[in-house]
Amino acid sequence: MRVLPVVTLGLMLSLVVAAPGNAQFLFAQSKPMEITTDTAAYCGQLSAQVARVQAHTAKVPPDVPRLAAEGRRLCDKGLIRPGIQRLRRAWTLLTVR
Amino acid sequence: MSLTTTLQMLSRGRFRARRRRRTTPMFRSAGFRFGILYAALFGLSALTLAAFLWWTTVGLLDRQTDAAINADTQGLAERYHEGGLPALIETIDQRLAANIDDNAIYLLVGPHFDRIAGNLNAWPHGVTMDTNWFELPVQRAGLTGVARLHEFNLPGGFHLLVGRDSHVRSQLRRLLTGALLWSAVVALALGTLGGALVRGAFRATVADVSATAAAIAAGDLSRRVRIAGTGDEFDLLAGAVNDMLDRILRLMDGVKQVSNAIAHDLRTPIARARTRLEDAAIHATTSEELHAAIDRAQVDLDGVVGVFQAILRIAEIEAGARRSAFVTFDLSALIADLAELYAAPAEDAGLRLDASIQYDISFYGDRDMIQQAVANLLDNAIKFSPPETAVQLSLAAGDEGLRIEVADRGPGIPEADLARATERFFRGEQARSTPGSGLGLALVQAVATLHGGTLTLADNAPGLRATLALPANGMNTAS
Amino acid sequence: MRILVVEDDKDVAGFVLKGLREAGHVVEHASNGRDGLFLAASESFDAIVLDRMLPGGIDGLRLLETLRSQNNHTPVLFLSALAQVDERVKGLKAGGDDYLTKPFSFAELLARVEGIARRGRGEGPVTRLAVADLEMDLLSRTVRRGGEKIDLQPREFRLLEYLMRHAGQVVTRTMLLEGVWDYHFDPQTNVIDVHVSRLRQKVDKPFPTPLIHTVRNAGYMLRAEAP
Repeated sequence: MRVLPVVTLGLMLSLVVAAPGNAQFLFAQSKPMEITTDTAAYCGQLSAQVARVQAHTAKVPPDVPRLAAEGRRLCDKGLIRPGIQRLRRAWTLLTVR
Repeated sequence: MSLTTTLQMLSRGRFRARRRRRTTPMFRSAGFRFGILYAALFGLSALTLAAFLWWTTVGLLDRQTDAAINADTQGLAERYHEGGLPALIETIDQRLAANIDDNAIYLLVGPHFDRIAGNLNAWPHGVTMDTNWFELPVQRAGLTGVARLHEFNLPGGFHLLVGRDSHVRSQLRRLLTGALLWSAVVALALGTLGGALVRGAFRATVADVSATAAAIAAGDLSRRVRIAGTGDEFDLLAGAVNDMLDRILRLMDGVKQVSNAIAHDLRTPIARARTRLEDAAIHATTSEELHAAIDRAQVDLDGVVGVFQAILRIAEIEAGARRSAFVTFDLSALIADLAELYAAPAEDAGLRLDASIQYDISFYGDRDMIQQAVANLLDNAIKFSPPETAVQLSLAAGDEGLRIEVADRGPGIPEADLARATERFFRGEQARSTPGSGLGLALVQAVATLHGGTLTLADNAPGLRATLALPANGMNTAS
Repeated sequence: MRILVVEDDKDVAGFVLKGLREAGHVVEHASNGRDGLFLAASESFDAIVLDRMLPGGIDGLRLLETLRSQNNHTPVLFLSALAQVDERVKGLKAGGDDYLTKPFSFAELLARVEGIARRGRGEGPVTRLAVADLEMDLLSRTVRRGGEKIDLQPREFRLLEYLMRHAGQVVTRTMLLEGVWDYHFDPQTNVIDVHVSRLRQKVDKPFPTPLIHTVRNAGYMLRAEAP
C-alpha cells in the first residue's frame, strides 16, 4: 500500500529524465542555424534539376510538367515552401521510376 | 473498579477532544489527513496516466526519428564508400530534392569544417567529434524549431550531419504539457473536493461518537452512537461503542442496586446487633444474660460478614476474574456428591431428594463456583419445600448443551417476580419470613453468565424449576 | 506449642495472642515484617500466623517466600482481609499451609493453627486410629466401639476419620466441608450439622458416653470427656 506511490513517483521521474533520449541540447547556440533548402535560390536550383532530368527522361509521367510548372509559379509569387514542395513531388515522380 | 476507570477514560478522552478542537487547526485533524491522502492518491494516479501517455507518444516519435536518421546515415556512408565524395554529394542533393516532407537536414563539411554540401548554412558551434547525438534550434523559412541531429565522421576528415526537424514532436509536447497542466488542475480540484467530502463524512461520524461520549460523561447514560445501518466499519465501531456503553450501564445499575441494597438490607442486622448489645449493656443483670446477648450479636454480625462475602464473590465472578481458575472436571461426580451431601438435610426436613444424573459428563469451568451455584439452588429448594414432597435434581447433556435442573414443590415464585428473582437482595413475599440474604440466585446467575450459560426460573406447577443451562464443553467451545 | 504471630493491627494481635495463650500455647509477637522474618528465621516455631499486609517493607508474601527459600518449612497460616479467591491462591502458592480471611472467629483460627501445626509434625502413614473405646482400622475400613462393629457409609467413615485425626481439637464446619467434601463455599443451610448428627446416631447414641461434642459458636470436637 505504502510502496505503490513511491514506485509510481520513481517511474515518472525516470520517464521525465529519459524522454529527451540520449541527445544533448545545444541551446547554447545564440542564433538558430539556418536551413538553406527553403530559399528562392534553392527553388531555382531544384527547378533546374527537375528540368535537366525531365529532358533526359524518355517517358515523363503526365503529372510532372504540371507539378513543375506549378512549383515555379508559386516560387515566383514568393510562396517558396509550397513551390518547393510541388517541385519535390515532380522530382520524386521522375526519379522513383 | 473497572467501571470508574472506564468513566475516567471516557471523560479524559472528552477533554482531550475539546482541547484539540480548540487549539489545533486542520493539520492535526484525521479527517483532513484522510482528505489529503485521497487528493494525493487521486493526483498521483492522474499523473501516472499522463506520464504513460507521454512515454507512448513522444517517446515513440523520438525512437522513430532516431531510426530514420540512423538508416539515412548508414545509406550515405555506404554511398561514400562506393563512389567517394562526388557520389555522396549527389546523393545528398537527390535526397534533399526528394524530401517532400521538408524536414530533412544534411550537412557535409571538409576537414576544416568548410561547407561542401547540404542544407545547413554552417557547422554549428560547439559540435565536436564526440558529440554524437544532439538537438539544435534551427530556422526554416523564418520559423524557429528544434531539430534532432546525428554527427558522423567519414574517412578523409569529412564530417557529416544528418537530422530531422522535430516540430511534430514539439507540437505534441506542447499539446501534452497543456493537457497535463489542465488535468493537474482538474485533479487538484477533484481531489480537494473529494478530500473535503471524505473529511466531512469522517468528521460527522466521529463527531457523533464524541458527542455521545461527552453526553455520557456529563451524566446522560441513555445516549447511544447512531448506527447508519450500512454495516460499514463506522457501524461496527458504533456497535462496539454501544455495546460497551450497555455494559457500563449494566455495571452502574449493579452498583446502584448493591448500594441501595446495602443501605436497606444490611442496616437491619447491624441495627439488631447494636440494639442487643446496648440492651444488654443497660439491662443485663447476670453475666449469663450478657454472654447470651453477645453471642446473638455475634451471630448477627457473622450474617453481615456472610452477606459481604457473597456480594464480593458475585462482583468477583461478574468481573470475570475467576476465568483463571477454569479446569476440566467431572461434572457428573460433582453433582452426585452434592446430591449425597444434601440428601441428609432433605430427609431431615421430611423431603425426598430424587437425583437423576447422566454419567461421564466432563466440563471446563470453575469447579468451586459450579458447586456453590448448585448448592444454592438445593438450599433454596429444601428451604421452601413443604414436608412429604420431593426435590428433583438432574443433570443431562443434550444437543444444546448441559442442563442442571433443580425442581421443588414449594410455593414457587409469582409470575411477576420471576424476572427480578435473580437480582441481588431480591426477596419474594414468601421468602421474607425465612432466613437468607437474597443473594443466592444472584450468585447462580453470575456463575451461569461467567460460564456462558443461562439461569432460567420457571413455574413447576406448583413449585419452582430452576434450570442452569451451560455450553456443552464449558468455555472451551464458547470462547 | 510455640507459635509466632506476625500482625500489625494491635486489636487483632492482642485478641489472637490472648486466645492462643489461654489455649495453652507459647506465643511470640512481631508487629512488622522485618521483625517477623528475624524471629521466624532465628527461632524455631511449631506454627506461624502471618498477616498478608504488613508495614516495614516486607509484606506477608515476601516474608514467607524468603523463609521458604531458606529451607524453613514451619507451617504458616495466612490471615488476611484480601478475600478474593486469587489472593487465596497466591498465598497458598507462596508456600502458605492455610488461609483465613478477616473477620474470623477465634475458634476457627485456633482450630486451623492446631491443624497445620500437627500436619507439620508429620505423623507418617497411620493404619489405626483410636479415641477412648472407639477404634478405626484404615486398611479394612472398619469401625468398632467397645468391640462392637459400627456400619458406616463411605462419607460417614471419612467424616469420622477426619474427626479422629483431629481428636481433642475443635473442628469447624468449614474445615469439615473442605476436609471431607472438598467444598470451598458456605452453604446456607446446616448441611454439616445434619451429617454430624447422623454420625452421632451411629457412634454415640447406643453407648453411654458421647464422644462427639458440639463446641458452641465454633464446631465440633471428638474426645473422651466433655470439653
